[in-house]
Amino acid sequence: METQVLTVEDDDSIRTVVKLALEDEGWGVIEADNGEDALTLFRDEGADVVLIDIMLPGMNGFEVCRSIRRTTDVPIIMVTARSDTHDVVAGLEAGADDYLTKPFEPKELSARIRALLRRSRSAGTDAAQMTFGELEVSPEQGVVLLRGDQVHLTKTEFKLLVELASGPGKVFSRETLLEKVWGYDYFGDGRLVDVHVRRLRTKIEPDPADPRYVVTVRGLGYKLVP
Amino acid sequence: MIIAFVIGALMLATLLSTVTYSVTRARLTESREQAALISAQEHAIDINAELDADSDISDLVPAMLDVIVPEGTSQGMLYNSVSQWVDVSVLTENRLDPEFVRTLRAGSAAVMTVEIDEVLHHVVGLPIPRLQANASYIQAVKLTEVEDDLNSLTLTLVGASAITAMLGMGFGVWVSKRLLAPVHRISEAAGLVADGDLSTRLKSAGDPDLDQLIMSFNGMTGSLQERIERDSRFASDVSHELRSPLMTLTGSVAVLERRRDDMPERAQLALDLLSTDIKRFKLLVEDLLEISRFDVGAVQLDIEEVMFGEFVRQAIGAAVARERDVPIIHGEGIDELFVELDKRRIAQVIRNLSENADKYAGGVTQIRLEHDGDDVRIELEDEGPGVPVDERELIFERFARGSEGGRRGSGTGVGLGLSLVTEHLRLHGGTVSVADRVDGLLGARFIISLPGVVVE
Repeated sequence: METQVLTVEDDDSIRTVVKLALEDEGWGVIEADNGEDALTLFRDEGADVVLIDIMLPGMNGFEVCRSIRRTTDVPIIMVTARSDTHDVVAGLEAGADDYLTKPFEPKELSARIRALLRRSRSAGTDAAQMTFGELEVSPEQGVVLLRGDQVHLTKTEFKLLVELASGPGKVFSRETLLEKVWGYDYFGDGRLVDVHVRRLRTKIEPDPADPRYVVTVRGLGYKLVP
Repeated sequence: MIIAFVIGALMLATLLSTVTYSVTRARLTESREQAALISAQEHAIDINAELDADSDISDLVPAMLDVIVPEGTSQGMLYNSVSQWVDVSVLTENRLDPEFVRTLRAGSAAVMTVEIDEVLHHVVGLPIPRLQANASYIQAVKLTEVEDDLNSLTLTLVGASAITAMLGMGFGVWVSKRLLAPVHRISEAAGLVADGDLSTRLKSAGDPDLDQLIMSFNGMTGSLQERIERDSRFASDVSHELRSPLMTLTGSVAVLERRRDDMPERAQLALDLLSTDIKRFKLLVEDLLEISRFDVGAVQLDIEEVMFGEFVRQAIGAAVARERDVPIIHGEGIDELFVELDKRRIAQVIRNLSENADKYAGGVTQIRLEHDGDDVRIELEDEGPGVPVDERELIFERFARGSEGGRRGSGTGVGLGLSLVTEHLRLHGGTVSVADRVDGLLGARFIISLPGVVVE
């Protein structure tokens, strides 16, 4: 079945050119030019990847993202106009897996989408199930249990956890995590890692403010405490 | 401020004390001396009364002994030829001033002061008129009372000065609290605004004069905040207006390029021109937007801790063509050094300098990393023509292209690259400069200086 991308963008020209570029990659594209329509469209037709511009009339991109996140862990990419504002962090905290800054090369967008789809297709390594305290991580099934209850993580959050779990007690630098989980090079945006760690903590930590599992190692990165 | 009050009070108290002491001492001494003189005179008269026309020297001492004197008074008789004392413990002739003795022998009264056994004595000498043989009655009085009085006065005055100083301090503290605290609040608030918190406002102080100042301050901060927010919004709007059509242009060119092979040759040519210039234009817009963000103050540092050597290696690797391998020389202590900086910005700095070297000097040939305490330096050398001394400041100005950069086609950008380098570094408190190569050969050496970035 053809991969379907939902684009939410109010600028007609941009929306059109993105559609053209994505269709060139062999993906199907459904479009919305505002938040409400986007949610309706997503609910009725579904999508494999969602692209949301944060600047939308009416309901803004963050709200759309949060709404979608409430019911599904579909990969979401936020499109921002600037990379150094709080928009990036806000977008990530709202549930986005990655972000792109306008103007971007369609090639870059395709690469990001492919990376996210890869994450969806293969949930992780073929590592065996691991247990850390009250946390059970099953990479093959893509399942995480906390005290026996399933935790709903996005594919990216899951991939991040699996990566940390591949070396319990080992410190992973932001650069390493960016590369392994997002496929970025040394100059990827460390905030992707930081915000995802925060999101992960709110879902698996008994006290996110005082983490027991995913611990920050100041100046070096993060580690999973077995 | 408080110290000023204390010093002022202390000085005033000391002045008063000194004046009081001096005046009192003078008066006390004077009155005591007066009393001593009168006492001596009285005794002299009494002695005189005991003598008659037939008396001679041998009658003097008995006459003197008949006169009752108070304790602490020593008596003596001074004859022209010899002196004789009754109370032996105190004065002897050699203690008398020659001047004093001369005056007495000349027939006049005389006074002097002498210290005996650390006690001041006031000495009065009066000639006895009834004797043909010259004799003078001498009386020495201890001034201990005066001394004692003065001592207790001194103590009192010192105590009073100390208390005054403390009161001064207390007053100073009070003034500081009541009057200066609001002033401090205002200057603190001004500091907060200067550091960027434009939402700072002051509450009323309940004092009409201060409230006037507070209102002006709040008004000023309010308009400042409005203006900066307006500028920021404008910058943001402009940013959006520029990025959107660029997005469409970039996307359209990408779609066209996919179909390049299906195009007639002339269309392919046009597409290539379009593609190149749009890429250039995009970079230009990015630079302009970045510079305008600096102008508006809408810039933030995103500090991360990185391994210095590794970071520079990655940065130059991303900036130069894959085939080129720029050697990086580590100075002492660089190998294990960690620094805190904004990765994106400093990488941009290295990229801009590298591109500048590519454009004008054939590319960076060597990088040297040094550190000096908490400061680090990145030096990029090339083998180009170098930068003339009189242009070394100019090249970092906006839109400056140096003597080599006249034609548009000679590369990307309009001359913002180096000024952006300056701005990025300034955010870090750092600088950039250009100098000659270390080995003195032809070429330029760009020196990036980042103070205080080393992490312990």
